[in-house]
Amino acid sequence: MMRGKKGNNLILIENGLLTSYMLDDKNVWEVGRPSKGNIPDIKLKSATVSRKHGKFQNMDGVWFYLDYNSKNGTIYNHKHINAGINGRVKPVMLETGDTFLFGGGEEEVINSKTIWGLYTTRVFEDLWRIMDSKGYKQLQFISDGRITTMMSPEKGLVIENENGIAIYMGDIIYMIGDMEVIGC
Amino acid sequence: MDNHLKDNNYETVFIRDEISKCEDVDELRERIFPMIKTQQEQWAKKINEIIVESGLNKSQFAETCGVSRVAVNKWSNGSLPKNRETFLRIGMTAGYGLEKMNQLLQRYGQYPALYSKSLEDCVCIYVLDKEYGKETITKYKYILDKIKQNIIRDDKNEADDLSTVIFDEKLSNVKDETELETFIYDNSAIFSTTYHKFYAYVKMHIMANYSGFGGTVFELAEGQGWSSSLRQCVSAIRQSKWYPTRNKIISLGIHLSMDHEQIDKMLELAHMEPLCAKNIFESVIMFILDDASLNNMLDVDSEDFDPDELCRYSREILETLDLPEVDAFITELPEINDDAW
Repeated sequence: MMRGKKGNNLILIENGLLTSYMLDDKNVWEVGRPSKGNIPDIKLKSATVSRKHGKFQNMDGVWFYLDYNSKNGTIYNHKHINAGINGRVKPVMLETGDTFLFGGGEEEVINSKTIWGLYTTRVFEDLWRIMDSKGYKQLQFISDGRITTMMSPEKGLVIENENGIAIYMGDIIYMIGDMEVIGC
Repeated sequence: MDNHLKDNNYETVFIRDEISKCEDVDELRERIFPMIKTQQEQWAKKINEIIVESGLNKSQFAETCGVSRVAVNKWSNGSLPKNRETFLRIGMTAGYGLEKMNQLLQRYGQYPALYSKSLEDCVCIYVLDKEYGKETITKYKYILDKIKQNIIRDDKNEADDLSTVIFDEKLSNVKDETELETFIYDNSAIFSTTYHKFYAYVKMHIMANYSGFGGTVFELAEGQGWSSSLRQCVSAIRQSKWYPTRNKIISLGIHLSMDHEQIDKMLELAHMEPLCAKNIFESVIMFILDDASLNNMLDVDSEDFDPDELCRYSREILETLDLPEVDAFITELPEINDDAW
């Protein structure tokens, strides 16, 4: 059976396009909107993302996300990252399954202007697959012989286990590893 | 969850909400403190029972615990021991087993239960399990001292991903002191990673906010004239070998201008409960942090950067309240009129 290997992996979905970053390749990953003289490591095109938006940083093997108190901000695990006392940066310590929404303002609304992200400590060698899920009301996620049934889930739902990952984004589902989805 | 715990949680949430509504210190003192008194009364009742049951008089009890007679008197009148280690000593002096010890730590001390992946707790679990009776505390100190002197922290040796349940089981199979020592040496990587995430969290916060100080904890502490004990603590964090204690974590958080959420995160990473509204000192800390966050929100444009602002403010509040058990904490905070900055 194929299992995910250990590794620190950031998955971003922007305009329907999924990109996977192997965080372990570098210690710091700047996140921002590229402009003249500013070339971040993770380039987000959306106008609601600040030029210098934030960064992912490793400290003694533990991964953090730091938001530069950017204009439209970042939502981390469904909550807006606020500045600390006297405007201090509040690094968040990442755990597998953490989700992000870059440049979405205070409320969590996933749309074509926002960039959605997932941090996971599992790395799969195969490629991400896409499934059209337009119009489905009920979804069955099948992995490792187990079935998880969801009725009209919210966009941004993640089904993650040792063997595979599925990300539900409304009209599209992204899958990797041992993961199948049946919709009706 | 039994009813006692449920009521307890309900009360804690209630007090916590009430603290956030307090306008000033006077209101905190008048409205909140009377609610918390019951916690101290419960403790006074408990410790007096413990002493009677131990068959020791107060002086003997103090001596066995390794504290002063004055400290024991204070406990009898309801003041809480100021750290978890003291609760452990009390439980060992009382001849408690594992279950009663955990209850003492959690219910009366608001501390986490014994955690086998922390060195001190590991030794404590061992001596409780072996039922040394009156010798328990002496054994504990002896074994711990011996191990601490000999332990070599090998960071290159990667810790196995052993679940705490399996680790507990392995520990319960340890037969004697020699085996315990071997067990501890074999697992030294696990002990040294117990607080790994805690250290990383503190270091990351400093790197993100104090790069003007060269980005190291040590330079920050030197630069701001922190007390020598707190400087020792940050220097030990830098070397990843500090054993966190509750009040020191809170003190560190205040010194680093962390908010309530961040101090709770540090406590969680040190395997402790979040700030507890039912402890007078911590209720004041919660009030200070809530207030600081609120004032800050009203004053977002302020560019004044005073790294000691939160410390000064905390000191001001704590000094207006008469809380003898936190004298040590207060003296660690910078002087109010200290204009070294």
